[in-house]
Amino acid sequence: MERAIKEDLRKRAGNIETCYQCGMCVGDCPAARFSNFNIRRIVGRFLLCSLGDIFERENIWDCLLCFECAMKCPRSINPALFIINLRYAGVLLQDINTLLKMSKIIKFAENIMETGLSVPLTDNLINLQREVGIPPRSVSEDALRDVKRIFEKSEALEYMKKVSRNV
Amino acid sequence: MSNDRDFSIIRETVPFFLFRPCVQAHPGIEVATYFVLKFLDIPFLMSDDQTCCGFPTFFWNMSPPEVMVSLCARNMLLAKSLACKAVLVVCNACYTAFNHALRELSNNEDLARRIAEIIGRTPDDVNDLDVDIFHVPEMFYAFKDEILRRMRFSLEGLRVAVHYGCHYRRELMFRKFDDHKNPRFVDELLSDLGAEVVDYSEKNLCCGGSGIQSRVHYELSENICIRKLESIHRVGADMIVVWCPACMYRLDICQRDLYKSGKIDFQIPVLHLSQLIGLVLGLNPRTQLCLHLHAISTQPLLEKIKEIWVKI
Ligand code: SF4
Ligand code: SF4
Repeated sequence: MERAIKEDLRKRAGNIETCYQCGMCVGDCPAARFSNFNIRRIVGRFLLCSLGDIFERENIWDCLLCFECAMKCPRSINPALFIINLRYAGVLLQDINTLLKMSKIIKFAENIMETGLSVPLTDNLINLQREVGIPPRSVSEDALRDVKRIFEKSEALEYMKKVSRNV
Repeated sequence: MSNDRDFSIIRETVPFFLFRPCVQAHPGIEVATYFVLKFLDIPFLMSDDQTCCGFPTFFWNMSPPEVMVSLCARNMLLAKSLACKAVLVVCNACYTAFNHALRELSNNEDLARRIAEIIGRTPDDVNDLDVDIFHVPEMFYAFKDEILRRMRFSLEGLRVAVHYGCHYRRELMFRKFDDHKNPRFVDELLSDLGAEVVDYSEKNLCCGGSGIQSRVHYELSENICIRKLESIHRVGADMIVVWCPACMYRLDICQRDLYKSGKIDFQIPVLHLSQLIGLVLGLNPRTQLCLHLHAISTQPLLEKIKEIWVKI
């Protein structure tokens, strides 16, 4: 299973094999400046080692997804997107650290599914909008139905279960 | 400097579909944008059929990648059905989500078919979205003449630190309104409005937010935020301007918390660009810009803009 997931990741990561370990991606990486996270090392490990090895030895959650690395790489590799895909692989492989981190934030997806918005509306907000005279926010029944359909048809429900099952 | 950059296409896409943000820790972002557009007579529409752009579902791995692309495509088709040629966002995450979705769809027929099936439309609908995405900085720049003509207060004497935000600079790489490594066009716009735009060493540094970082790795997030703020404080900025609710949350609310816990010893007011433009245009700081709802008081700032002198 790990092999298939790694193969899929390799495809999604596109030109990552052209990485020549120059380290340009690390220079302005905020995570590298403030922790021992090293995106060049992680890319290198991906090319040489198993995914299990990465999950065990690297904290892929230190990445802020700021895309600074993608703006710097001379090979047009997008290491930030690669990190997103690594985290997806972590969920599929049920990596416990990935699942623990995800469990702290999965609420936002549930919010979207249930209310159409990542942060549900509050009475305070609606009252304020009324008071100042902008149209008070609401999400229509049609929109809610469409959102449910999107989550169902894209197999998001199964995916979200994978995140919460083991935590 | 910006003569070779073409902002004029933006003017031709009105009416905009004003895309309302989910993060409402600062309700003034949306309120100010609404009133500034009205004041400048820039046509726009809003709709209750709008949903979240889906940014967290992909960028925070909360659902399969198709969910965000589907939500974006659906919202763009909604804009199109209202005869809007462009979606106008007030948030760097929405900007990234929409642009990312468009890029994904543009070179992947299979994905377009799959998304069409998920949202219950035809592949042609999804292939032919034909809706552009703009963010407020480039929109205000495109309407600079109107702003200059109708401004009531100059920003003269005000030292402003501009924070473009990682996700905005990243999109500039594709949108090319400016050099993504060292963008200047908002600095230039604010200088034209009288401000003294200050350079600071950590201008390109992330705010530390990244949405989830503050939840999954608080210390790293905080250290980055402190470094950024100290760099702004060192150059004596009177205020920080941003155009993202998430950066704003980080730099305003977290700055106040850092101050309270004694980790920094200064407080610099933070405004969304729409609020700053609103001030220049003479909109009501309380009822049209909600400047009283910030964690760090914006009062000292209003007092600095000599002519305003209002108490909010
Ligand atoms: S900048 Fe690009 S080529 Fe250089 S180490 Fe990083 S990913 Fe590899
Ligand atoms: S996206 Fe992640 S790896 Fe890339 S520069 Fe930002 S923090 Fe570093």
